[in-house]
Amino acid sequence: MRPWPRVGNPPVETCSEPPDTVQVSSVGMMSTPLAAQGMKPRVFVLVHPAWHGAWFWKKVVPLLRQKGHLVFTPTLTGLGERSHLARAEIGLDVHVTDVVNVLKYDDLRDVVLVGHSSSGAVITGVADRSPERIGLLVYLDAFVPEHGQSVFDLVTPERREALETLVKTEGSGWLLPRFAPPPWETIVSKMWGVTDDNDVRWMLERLTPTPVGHFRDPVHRTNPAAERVPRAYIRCRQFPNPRFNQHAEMAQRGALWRYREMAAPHHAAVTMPDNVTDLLLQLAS
Amino acid sequence: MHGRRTFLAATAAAIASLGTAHCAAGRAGPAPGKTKTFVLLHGAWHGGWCWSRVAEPLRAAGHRVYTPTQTGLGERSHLISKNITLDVFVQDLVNVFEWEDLNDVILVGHSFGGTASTGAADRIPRRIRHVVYLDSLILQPGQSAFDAMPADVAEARRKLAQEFSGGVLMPVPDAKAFGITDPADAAWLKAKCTPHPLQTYETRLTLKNPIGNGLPVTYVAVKPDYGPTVAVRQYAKTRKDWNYVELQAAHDAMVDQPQAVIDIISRL
Repeated sequence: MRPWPRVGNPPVETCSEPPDTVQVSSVGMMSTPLAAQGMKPRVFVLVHPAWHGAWFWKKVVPLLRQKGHLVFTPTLTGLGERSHLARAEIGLDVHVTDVVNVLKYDDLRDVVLVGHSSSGAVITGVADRSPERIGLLVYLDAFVPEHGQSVFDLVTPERREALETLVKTEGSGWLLPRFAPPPWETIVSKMWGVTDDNDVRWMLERLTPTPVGHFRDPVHRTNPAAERVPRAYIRCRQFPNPRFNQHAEMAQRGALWRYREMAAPHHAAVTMPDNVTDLLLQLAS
Repeated sequence: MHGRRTFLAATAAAIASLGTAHCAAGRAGPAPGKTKTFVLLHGAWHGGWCWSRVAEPLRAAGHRVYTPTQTGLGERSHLISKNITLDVFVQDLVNVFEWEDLNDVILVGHSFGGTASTGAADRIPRRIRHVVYLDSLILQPGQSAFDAMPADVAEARRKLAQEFSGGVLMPVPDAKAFGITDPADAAWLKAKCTPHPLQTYETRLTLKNPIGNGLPVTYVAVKPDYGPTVAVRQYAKTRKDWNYVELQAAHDAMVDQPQAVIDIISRL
C-alpha cells in the first residue's frame, strides 16, 4: 500500500508537482482588454491574514480585475469558507502549500504575491518554495520573519503569553480564537480601524478562529533564489506596531526593498481599497 | 418555459455548427450593468484550474466568477484523506456562497460536480438563480455515485483504488476518457488532474427536497455521448420542467469548447 500523506505533509508527488514544462493556460487564450490600460496585465495573488478568508479582499479584487489584471485569493485551510476543514495539525506549512499549489495548478508566473499582517509569514514561505514564479513580494502591514522565526517570535513576550492563554482557555489548545483578549467588536473597530457599521457587521459574521500553528510554526527561509526576489513593504501608519515600524525601517534601507506608507489603519484593504489598489499597481508597474 | 427550451436548443445547435469560428465573434460579453455571478464546480479528478478558459473571459466581460476546488483535489490535493466524503464536497461549495455572500448565482456543475451542486441547491436555494448540469452526474436522493453506476463499473473502480492507494483514491484516467484528444490539452489535463477521493463516490447524497429544489435547471449533454452520463440524461429528459440542451463537445467541454460553454451559461 502506498502511504498517503495527511494534512501537514508535503503534497503527493505525482499530483501536486505538475511539471513546469507544461504551459497551457487561459492566459494566452483570453482577449486582452488591458492593452488600453497602459500597463502590462499582472497576476496578483492576495493572501488574507489569520481569522479572515478570501472574503477579506472583497473590495480590492474587483478594482484590480476591472483594470484587466488576473487575481487569485486562496483561502487558507481551516479559515473562512475552509473552516469546516480546521484541525489541530494545520500549521504554517499547510498554509504555505495552499498558496504554492495555486501558483502551480493555475500556471502562474511573474506573480505579485501580497500578504497582509500574519500572512507575511505565509508569503515568505511561499517565496522560499517557488521563487521562480514570483516577480514581487508585497508585505502589506505584515510580519517579515527571518529563517526559523514564527509570527509569535515577532510579538512581545507579554502579548505572546496572552495569546497562548486564549488558545488554552477558549481554543481547545489548538485554535487562536481572536487577535487579542477583548471581544471582536473592539478589535475590529478600535484596533484595526474598521468603523463603518456595514463593514464591521460583515467582518463579525465571517471571522473564524485560526489553528495556532499558523502563528507558532517557524518559517523556512533558506533558498538563495528566494532572497533575490524583489520585495516591497507597505506600512499602514495609523496602526501602532513597533515590529512593523522595524520592518518599515529595514525596507527603507534594504537594496532589494521598496517602501511605501499609507495614512491608514491596519485594515486598509477594507477601509481604503482604492488607495491599496493604486499602491499595488504602482509597485507592480 | 417551453419557448426558452427551444431557444437554448437552437443556440446550442448554432454553436455546434459554427465550431471554432464562433469563438472570435462571441467575445463581446454582456451589456454594462448585466453583471452576473457564476460558480463553476469541477468534476472528479479536476480542480478549479480546469475552468480557466471559461472563467477568465467571463471576468474580462465584467462578471463575477468563482471556481472553488473541492477538498483533496488540484491545489487542495495536499489535504487528501480518507475522510473526504460527498458531505465535505457539499460543504466546500455551500461555504463559498455563504462566506462570499453570493446571491442570484448561476451554478454550473460539471460531471461529478453535479452531485455537490444538487446538494447545494437543496440547502441554499435562495442564493441560486439557475442550476446548470454540464454533462454531469445527478444522484437520486439516498443514492451514491457508485449506486448510480453499473455494479461491475463501480466494483472495478473500487478495485483500482484499492490497488492504487489502499482504497483512498481513484487514479486519474487518461485524458481520452474525458474526450480530450488535442495533445496540448491532454498534456495540461495529465499535469493537473489529481487522484480522486474514493469516499465521495461511496457517500449517499442526503436531500431534504426534490432534485433541483424547484429552481430553474438546464441539463447540457455533450455529443457524442459520454458513457457515464447516458443514464442521467434519460432522467434529465423526463424532467419537463428543466431545459435540455445538446452541445457538440467533449465531456470536458470547458477545455474543448469553452466559448460554447460561455455562450450557454451567460444567456441564463
